[in-house]
Amino acid sequence: MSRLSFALFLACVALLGWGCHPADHGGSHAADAFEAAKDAAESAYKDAESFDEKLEIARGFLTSYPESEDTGEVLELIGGDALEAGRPEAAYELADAVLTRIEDPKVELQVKMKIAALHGKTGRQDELAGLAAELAAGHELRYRELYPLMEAAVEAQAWELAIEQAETSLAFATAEAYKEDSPDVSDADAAKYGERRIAYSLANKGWAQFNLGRAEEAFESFESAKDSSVYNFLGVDDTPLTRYWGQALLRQGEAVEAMELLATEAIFGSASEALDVYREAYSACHDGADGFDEHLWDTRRQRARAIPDFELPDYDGGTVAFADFKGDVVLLAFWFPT
Amino acid sequence: MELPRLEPLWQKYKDQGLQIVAVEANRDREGALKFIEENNLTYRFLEEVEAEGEKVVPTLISGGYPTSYLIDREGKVVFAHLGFDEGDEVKIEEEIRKLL
Repeated sequence: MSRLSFALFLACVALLGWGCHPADHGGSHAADAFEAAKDAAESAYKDAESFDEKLEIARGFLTSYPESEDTGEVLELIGGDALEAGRPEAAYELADAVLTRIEDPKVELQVKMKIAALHGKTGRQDELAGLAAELAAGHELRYRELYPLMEAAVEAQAWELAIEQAETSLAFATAEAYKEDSPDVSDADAAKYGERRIAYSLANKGWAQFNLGRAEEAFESFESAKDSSVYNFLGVDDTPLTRYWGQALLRQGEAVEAMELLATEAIFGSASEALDVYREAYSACHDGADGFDEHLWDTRRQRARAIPDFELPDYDGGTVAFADFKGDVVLLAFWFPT
Repeated sequence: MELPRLEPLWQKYKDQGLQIVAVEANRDREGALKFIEENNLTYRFLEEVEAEGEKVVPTLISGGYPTSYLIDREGKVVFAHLGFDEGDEVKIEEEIRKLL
């Protein structure tokens, strides 16, 4: 799946999920009106044929409801479409207009985080650094803000800033901090996902260090990130670690090592970027991409791992074990109704 | 993988040893049953278990929804797929044919 289509997929998810939580507008009539306005805006947005139409729909919705919990989502959506249409200014203007209409500091933070993400995508390093400093001074930032700032910095290639954000975010890469953010998770999961934050931050830090020409430090960061990575049964961790590490090896001229490192993540991971780097490494090893598809299939078979057995209920009151399907080819899909 | 697009694959290959199993991860039973009925889906449907601490789905996937795995006759995952693009069902069908 290409990066663009994955972005579109996320945009669809964002659109479908656009607001499950109306802010309290005082009474159910107001809440009903909000729901109706949101539904109308959603369906009009989906049907809109031009970016200008979408912009007006988003503007109308945000003018009526600048402080709903959906403000951030709407700005993200229009931000993505603005970039695609080559009109980032329109998204900036809308976000600025929204900022003049809101008082709730939480919504303000949400909006500014969307502006930071936009700075990342448009590569506005100075604006991003200024905004990050402003946010750090004015809000108690936690991991949920610090990691998107780190990602935005990486995207804008603001490497020093990325390292700074990665280091700050590490303070929240603990089981305790994770539990504070998500009180419902079990202690075991909090430990696991707290640790995973370390891997995530260090992967980004390493990539920033590498791009600053500090290769030795970068590989140290990657090694440490690996120690904190959480792998699923396929051997995939779904952080950018493998991709950044592989890219760094490739740039150092170590294409064979890059391929070895990347194969599992490229084949079974969910980020298409890992596959792109893997293909690049293959091409470097084989003087071009000829035979890549066959190679991919062979490697898939070699690296395939057994799915752990599991038992889940069906809708007729029975329980089905995965082992029941052994001997058959199984297409197993995970979904939820929207 | 968009579930209604799997139905034709199921009809075409079920007699050759293909199983299609869809796991609903949010325990939205009402929404799930409605969707299954509206789209006339006839393959297997399972749902996430109820207990908070013993969820199964997070032990199987890490990337988000929709995720699909193609699993060979030995129980090994040989293909993993996140999201859905127009035309993905063609690619999935190619992979299925290689395994059957």
